[in-house]
Amino acid sequence: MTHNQLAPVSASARILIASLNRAFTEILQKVLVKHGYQVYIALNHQEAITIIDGQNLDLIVTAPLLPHRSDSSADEPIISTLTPAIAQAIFIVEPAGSQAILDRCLNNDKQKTHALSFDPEFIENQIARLLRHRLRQTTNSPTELRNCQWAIAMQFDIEGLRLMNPIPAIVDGLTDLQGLQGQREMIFTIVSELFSNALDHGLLRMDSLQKQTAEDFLHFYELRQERLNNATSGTIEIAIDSIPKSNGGQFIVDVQDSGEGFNIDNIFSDLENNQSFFGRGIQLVTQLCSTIEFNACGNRVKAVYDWYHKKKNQGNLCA
Amino acid sequence: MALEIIHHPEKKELTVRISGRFDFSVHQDFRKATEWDRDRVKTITVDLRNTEYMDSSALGMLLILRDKMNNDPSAIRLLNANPEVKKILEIANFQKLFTLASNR
Repeated sequence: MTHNQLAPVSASARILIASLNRAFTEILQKVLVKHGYQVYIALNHQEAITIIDGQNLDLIVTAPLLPHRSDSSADEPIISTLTPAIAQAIFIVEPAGSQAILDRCLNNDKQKTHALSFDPEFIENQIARLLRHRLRQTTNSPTELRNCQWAIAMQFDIEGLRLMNPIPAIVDGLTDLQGLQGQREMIFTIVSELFSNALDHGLLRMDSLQKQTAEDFLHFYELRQERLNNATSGTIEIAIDSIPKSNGGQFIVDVQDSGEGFNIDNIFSDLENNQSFFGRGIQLVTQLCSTIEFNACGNRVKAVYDWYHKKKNQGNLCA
Repeated sequence: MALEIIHHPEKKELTVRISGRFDFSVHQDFRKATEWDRDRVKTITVDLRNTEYMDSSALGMLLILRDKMNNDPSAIRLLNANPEVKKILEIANFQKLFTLASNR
């Protein structure tokens, strides 16, 4: 990993890991120190507040969940009470905007402290990505307000994907947390469509079954469920960044799947040629978002959605 | 119940009411709305008053319905869409393919 070379400030960035799970903090601390970050640890809410007040932190990482397997008990905070389908999720937040997230993540003293399986390099990638983004912002517009920038990053494995669709619960939880209810439907649409594409076309290869007849469409979901039931591997990673602006905000939704990729041009050309029953998801996202980009092989997509306050003088809610 | 179907035999009209999320999770129930004979159903009203979200699979389902009604835009009425749902319908140009109406 060469993130340190990209942005000198990242190498000495000050990161707080705040979690009730000691194993999580210790494992992640080792990896972040190896990447050159200066790392602090808080194992409860009070420690977190003390460190935030006393140190000039760049970011806070908090892990609001435990992996949910069928036999674990129900005492799991925030995201995992919303859905059992996530292998791991993390919040990364700027200190100024951390209060609401920390309140939700660190005030649940029933959280167990057994070791959980997660990927610290995945987390480090997200931290580096946010720091690079912030560096670009600072360089471009030093006077722009940067309160409450946060990101949530999630990984789903095939077992979780089989259990349920976690998107509705995640979007509800996020937009409720950040006082962004007005954007809930649009964010839901964007995240949901990109997630569905990643699952249906990226992992389950349903694109080969695009047919034009009504009967084929009706069978699509039955076949999809069958493929999902039989699939043995596959992961989807989603990162959602929320960046407030003085006149509204921006969401960046980044979805990556472990499939071989699909050819987006095929979908767009079908839509132009006829009234296809498929492909409208990407068309919808393209219309709603300011930009949408795919990587070369088609298994990763990044969509940027800009929104604006409706009323004048409405402050940025970041409770 | 997420999706309700009501038949008005005297008017030969079908009302399909979707509450909450209009996505693929309702596709099995939605299928029943496509299984009526054309001599018993002349018009369909899709009541979106309580529909909170709509995704692209819902757009596909509506197109199926339209296909069953021989692509006649006046045969299917999309009723009382909230502003967000209406935006999605308009992005997909559905005001050209269906009748969008409101009686709030």
